[in-house]
Amino acid sequence: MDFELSKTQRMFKKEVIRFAKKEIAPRVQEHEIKNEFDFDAFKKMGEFGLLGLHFPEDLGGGGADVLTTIIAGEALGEAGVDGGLTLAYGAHSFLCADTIFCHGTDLHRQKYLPQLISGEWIGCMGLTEPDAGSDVASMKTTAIRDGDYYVLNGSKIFITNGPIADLALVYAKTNPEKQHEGISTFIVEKGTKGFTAGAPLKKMGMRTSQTSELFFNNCQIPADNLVGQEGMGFFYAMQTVEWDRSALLAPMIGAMSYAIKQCSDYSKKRYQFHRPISHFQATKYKLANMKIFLEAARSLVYRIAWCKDQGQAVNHLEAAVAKLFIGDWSLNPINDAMLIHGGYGYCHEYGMEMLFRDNRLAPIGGGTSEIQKKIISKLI
Amino acid sequence: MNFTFSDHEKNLFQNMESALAQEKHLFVKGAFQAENDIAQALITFKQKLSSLGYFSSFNHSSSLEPVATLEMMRIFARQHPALFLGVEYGFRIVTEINRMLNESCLQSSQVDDSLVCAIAFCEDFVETDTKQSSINVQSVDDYFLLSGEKNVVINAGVAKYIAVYGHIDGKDTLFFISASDDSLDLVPIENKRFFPELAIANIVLRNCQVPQNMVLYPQQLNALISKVQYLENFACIACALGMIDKCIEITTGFAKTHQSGNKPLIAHQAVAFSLAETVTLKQTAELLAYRAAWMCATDDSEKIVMNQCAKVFCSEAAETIASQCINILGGQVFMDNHLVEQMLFNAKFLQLIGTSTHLARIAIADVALK
Repeated sequence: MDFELSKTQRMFKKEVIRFAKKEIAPRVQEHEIKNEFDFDAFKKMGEFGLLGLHFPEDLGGGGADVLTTIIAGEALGEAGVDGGLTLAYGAHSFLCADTIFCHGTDLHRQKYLPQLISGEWIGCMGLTEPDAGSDVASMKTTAIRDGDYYVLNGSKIFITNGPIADLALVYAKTNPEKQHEGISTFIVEKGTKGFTAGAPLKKMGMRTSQTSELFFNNCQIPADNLVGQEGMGFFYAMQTVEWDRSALLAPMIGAMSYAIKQCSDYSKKRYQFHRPISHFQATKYKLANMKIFLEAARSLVYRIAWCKDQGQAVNHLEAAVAKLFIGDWSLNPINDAMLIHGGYGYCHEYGMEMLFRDNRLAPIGGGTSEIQKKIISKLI
Repeated sequence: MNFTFSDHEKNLFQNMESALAQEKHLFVKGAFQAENDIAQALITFKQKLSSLGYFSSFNHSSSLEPVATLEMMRIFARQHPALFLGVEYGFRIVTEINRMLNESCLQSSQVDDSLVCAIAFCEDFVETDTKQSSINVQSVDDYFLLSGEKNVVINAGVAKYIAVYGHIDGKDTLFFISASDDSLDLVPIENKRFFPELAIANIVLRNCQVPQNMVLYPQQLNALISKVQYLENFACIACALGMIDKCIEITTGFAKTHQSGNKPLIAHQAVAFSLAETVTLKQTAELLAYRAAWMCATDDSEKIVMNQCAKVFCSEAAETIASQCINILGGQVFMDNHLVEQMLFNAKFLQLIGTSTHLARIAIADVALK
């Protein structure tokens, strides 16, 4: 076994941290408090090469391996980039663009990927519905073939980037009689007649990411917008699980590093009873628990990335373990980070309450903890 | 990065399983009538496992990767955690001390690594400050007279020699005392609930004579203690992983075969989800432990912290898992010294020995605060 990052990976991580600290982190609080997406930061991420890091260079990507891509996500969190922006990045690059890259036609790739990779366009993935969350197969949205077109009807909910997306990758039933095998995947461009996005949802955390419903009302799209084969949509969606369990978790790992650094700095400066609170064992215990969680979680995420780099089929047990651990076990240490800051931790200025709110999505988004437990218990 | 074991290592693990299988009669309940039988078993395992490279050092020069060594330790611990700890304390740790000290006096003495040894640092049931010692030492001609007590000495009941920590003129000192010395009393810990086959005892020294050639003055005692604790932590980590494996194996098997409400227990969501949590903890503990072991062979400044993180996480995971498994196994656990009940007590003990989880957390935080 070997757990070492290459010299290039270590240098790249430092470079991403430097970039993010300079170009993104200073504006996080301002955008967060206004519930605004940071379009400039997103564009700069595209210019820096982050949005298409793992795509081939001929499409404008960076040609990086999965592990390096994961490290970039970790670096963003470590630099203090908020969960909202990294979530938007994840939904855009991995849930939307990657599916087009893996299952779309050459035409799809040429037409859409350069714009998504550069950040000129923003992508989203429409899978969840009001009555079909974890139980994807019960989705109601339909896509019925009509000559050279498909006609979409239905709605999606909790769609990250929904209100700001130029392109939506939408999952709909082409055969409503069937369950999983009836689902197909489509590209729907913004402005297509019959396609509208709802107003941004008011959320507890991840506030800079814009989340909404998507509505399809006799929305007619060219049959060429079908991604991959009819009836394979569920399996394409499941393939994004590898990214859900690695790239989308990586910024949370980075955020824990960031929290440890913030807590360390704060606790050394904050005096109570004539000494820094870092001298109190209760503070040290909290810091230690954060560090232990960080190191435990990091290995899980790296393992998924490494497996993907080896071309191994996703091990659903290992992927679910990573998601469950980070989802459920991160809640206490991130709570501790806020508690170390006391009253200041409850205030926006210090950023800890934002980390706390953002982190609450961890056991819900990308497959709830209950679903992970279901997967794990079936596989043991 | 690489998250897999090599074919050579996998073969080694199979050989390890086979070697242990040959001695499976020692793993059954009631295999030991007396502590002498335990001593003999420890020596048997020492001989058997040496040829497999089991006692490879956790450092650069070792022929076996530290992660593979840790996995071999875990395989042993899965079969019999108490014998595993006995072997670790009796041989690996003492051997490492010898390697580190490279003292000629020890080599010329009768103490060698074919004998079971014990290390006596701890006093008053706490090992929080090993530098403190109340052992009274008097210099008389060419020997020393020692009086005092040491507590929770692992292998005390089966060791040929016990390394006792004390001071001479303020200097840190290790005294190697023959366990058969008449002035050394073993005080067994009555009704202990953890590791029944681990020969732990307190020792009382009453003007115990120790000749000069059995005394070491480590120049860097802090480094020595750190090394001992580092190795103890790895023993705890492997032991916890082995116990976790066994707990989950027993409980999963039970949940699949035991029926409740006309369906297997595992078909009930509360049971299935609880098992899923144990598997999550197991896989996380395993990976963290592997990374901590891998770091041994590097110059990474964080390797001590990783060792402590893994020790805390694995030993606490073992307790949590044993507790959850007990809930699934139900009342049977409280009858006939059930293995999983035993694991719960064992896990608690693992949190105390080596670097206690309390002290480890302080040490981890101190690094984070730098």
